[in-house]
Amino acid sequence: MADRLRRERRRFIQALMRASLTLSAALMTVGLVIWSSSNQATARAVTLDRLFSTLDTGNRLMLAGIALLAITPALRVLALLVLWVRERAWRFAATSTIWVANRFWSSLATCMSIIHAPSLWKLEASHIAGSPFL
Amino acid sequence: MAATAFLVAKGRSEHHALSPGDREQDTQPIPPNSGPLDARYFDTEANRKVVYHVQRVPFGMGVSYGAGVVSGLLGVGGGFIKVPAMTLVMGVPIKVAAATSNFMIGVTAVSSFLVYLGRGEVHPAATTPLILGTIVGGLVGTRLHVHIGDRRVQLILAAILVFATLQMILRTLGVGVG
Repeated sequence: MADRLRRERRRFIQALMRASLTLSAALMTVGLVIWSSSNQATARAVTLDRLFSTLDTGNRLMLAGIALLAITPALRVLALLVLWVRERAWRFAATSTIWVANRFWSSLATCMSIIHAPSLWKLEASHIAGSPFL
Repeated sequence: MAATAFLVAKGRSEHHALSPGDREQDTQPIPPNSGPLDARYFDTEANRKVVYHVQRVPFGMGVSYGAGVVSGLLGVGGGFIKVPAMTLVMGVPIKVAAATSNFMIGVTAVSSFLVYLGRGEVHPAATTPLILGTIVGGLVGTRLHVHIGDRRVQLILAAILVFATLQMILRTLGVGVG
């Protein structure tokens, strides 16, 4: 029983990781192709204000792919958290919950500090006026 | 770092093998005296299941803290500290240590990504080709990883540590190394 659960868990996680990696690679590839064919001479940095307003499709797709790739390890922990709760493996579920909470709050704090204290990030307040975070 | 390279090349994993078995028939039980972090995997190259016992977890946390400090201070990945620490001190097989280190780096990257995005320092068009190259390299590496023995992986890691050491020394001395 335990071995069957372990095998199922492993296969589910493998499928999730593969899907996430494939999707992010596809997004980045398509974005790169679109960006390359749009006659933009140089790569430009993305700021929060451009992220939600003037950013072109190519850059937007590439950024979505990068973001998906960045959160893939977190997706793995989230999926395992659900599986461990279902399996009543409370010790692992508690560890995962603490980790997820820690990541969530640190990410939220980063976003909030970007929005409310832009000087910390050397951004002008006008740069984030259009941000949907506000 | 050079000393670590020597230890890695010399060191042998303390895990032990169980009897050969089918990869899918995962029926060999973990020994009854095993701890909550003990685990096993099927080593394709050696054609056997490997059970390992994770030891000295508090020490591992301390080393991870040190790796984080060094990583933030020098702008290098902490893998060259974490992998030897997991292998030599915590009793984790080198293949598992390499995979775990990659996972930890991925987790850390989430926070860094947000910070750099907030500072407007993310260049998708410059970053994407590098990431796509890394993904392809990573897929090739993980395929090879399965078919290469632990000993060879240790030697490769030691060689990379020696190379990184020499590069840092030469850079510190002002000798151009690219």
